Amino acid sequence: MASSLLTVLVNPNAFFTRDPPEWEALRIPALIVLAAALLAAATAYLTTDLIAGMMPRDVQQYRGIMAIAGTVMAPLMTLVFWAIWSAAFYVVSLVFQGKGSFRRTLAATGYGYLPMAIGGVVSLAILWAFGPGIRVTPVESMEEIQAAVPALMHQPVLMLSSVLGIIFLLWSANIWVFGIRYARGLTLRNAAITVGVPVALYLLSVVSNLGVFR
Amino acid sequence: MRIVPLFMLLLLAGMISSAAAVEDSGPRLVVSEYRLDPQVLMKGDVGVLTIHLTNTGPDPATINSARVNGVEIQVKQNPYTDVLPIGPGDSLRFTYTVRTEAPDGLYYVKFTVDYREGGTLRYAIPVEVDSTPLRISVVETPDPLAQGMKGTYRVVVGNPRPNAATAVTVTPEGEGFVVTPSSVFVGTLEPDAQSSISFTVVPLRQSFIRFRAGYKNGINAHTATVTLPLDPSENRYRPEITLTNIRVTAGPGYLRIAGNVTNLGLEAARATTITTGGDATPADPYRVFAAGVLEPDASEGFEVTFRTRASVSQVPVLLSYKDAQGTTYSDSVNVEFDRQALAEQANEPSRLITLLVWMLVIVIAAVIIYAWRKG
Repeated sequence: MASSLLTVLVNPNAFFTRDPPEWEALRIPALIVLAAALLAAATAYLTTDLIAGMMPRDVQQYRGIMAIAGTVMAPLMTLVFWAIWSAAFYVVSLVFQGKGSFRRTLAATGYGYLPMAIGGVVSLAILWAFGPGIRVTPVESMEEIQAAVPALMHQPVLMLSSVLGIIFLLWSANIWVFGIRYARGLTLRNAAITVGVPVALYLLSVVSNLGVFR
Repeated sequence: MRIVPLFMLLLLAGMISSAAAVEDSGPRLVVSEYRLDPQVLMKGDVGVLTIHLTNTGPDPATINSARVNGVEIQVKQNPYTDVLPIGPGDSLRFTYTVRTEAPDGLYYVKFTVDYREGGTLRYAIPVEVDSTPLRISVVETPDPLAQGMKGTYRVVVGNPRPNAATAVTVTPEGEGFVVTPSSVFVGTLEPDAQSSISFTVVPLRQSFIRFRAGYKNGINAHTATVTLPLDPSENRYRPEITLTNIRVTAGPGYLRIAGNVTNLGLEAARATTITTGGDATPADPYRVFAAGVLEPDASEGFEVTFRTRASVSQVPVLLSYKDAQGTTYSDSVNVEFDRQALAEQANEPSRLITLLVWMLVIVIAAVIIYAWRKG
């Protein structure tokens, strides 16, 4: 099991060409996505608590509710994004006459969440260590929050967390390329395009939110 | 011849009996009682002299005038110039207002009554003048007399006068101190009696304190005072709080000032509290740090948290503590900080972390390259 996961990380081509193709079973990918979802929940709890700390005093009484809401929403979004990524790869691969089932695409995409799960551990460790030291500028009204939240996200710790997220996403994309290649019966080039287009759009969105283009 | 001696004898007897009749008839006026209030005058005092005149004779008398005269004792009013009848056995009361500017001594005023029946009564009344005032003295002062520190002054007021002083009140006067009680009413002080009063004084600055004993001699108000310099020294024993090892760090939503609070004084500091003031708004979790009792030379860690505007780079840390007498001391220590450096310090991961991140990037890049070569 461990060697299989290591193979996914460093040599995904070998993993997805194994015979019999055990990777098509959804149990392991689902567990990987679930692990990533739980880590996302923990990270979301810390981040939400940080953001709640800058809220006006009358809003701060709902700090616990906000943290719980963030903790519940993050893993749900991870599961939803699993489906969205899979659907995106499935749809784009149709252009290249992809033939595999959506279930196979879902499994291949799930294995790609392994680097993101590792990235989740690293981000959680960084937030745990440096989160309490983050200077949050308190705001007096809800209007000021709109300006304050981006400012908060530009804090070095959170920026680092975002950059790590991008790096691990690229690693995931690498696995997805090989996974989609065999899940949808594509050439390496077409698989790279199939994965590259949605990932590039997503990264464009993330980088844009980080304010790199401003 | 024998008739002549008998006539002479009868005539002599008649003369004797007539003389005796003259002796037993007619009014006889005497001063039966007199009273001066106050009993002993002080220089400048006004007194009320009351004289009772009694007719001890068998016949009524008609008084033409009754007056009092004196040299050292001036009579302010001589109102009795009308005709006044006084029957046998009756008494009349005459009241005069007298005043003196004489030095201490025993003087006499002359009471003169003229009555129609041909008589004049003259009566000398002694009046004592003694200007000795009440004695007020401070018998106990605070040691040490320290600024802002409660101290007790004990004042004794005594009456060396031969008569009682009434409405005795002792009042501390002056500026630059707080005193309780503000005044003490003693009441009547009999001759050779004394009364002890304590005042609690908190000196605030160099000044003087005067204790004034107000009293009355009859209707005349007098005062006696004693004045002491109020030169408080710095309380050598008072607690002195200082902050050391101050560190400013950033927390989630607040800034934190931490360090050590030390009592350098010789008395314990009580109710010691530390908070921030000025442009800083104390914030949870440590709006106010309560150190409680801090013994001399004792040191304790403290922590206060606050919020402030981004442009502020200096906030006052406010100290408040009390000594054993309950005197409150306040102090302020300005703490400066570099807001930018603080933010960077709080948020910037260490170089080691940055190095690890770069190593991670290289590893992942190597893995991806390896995967593509194998693929």
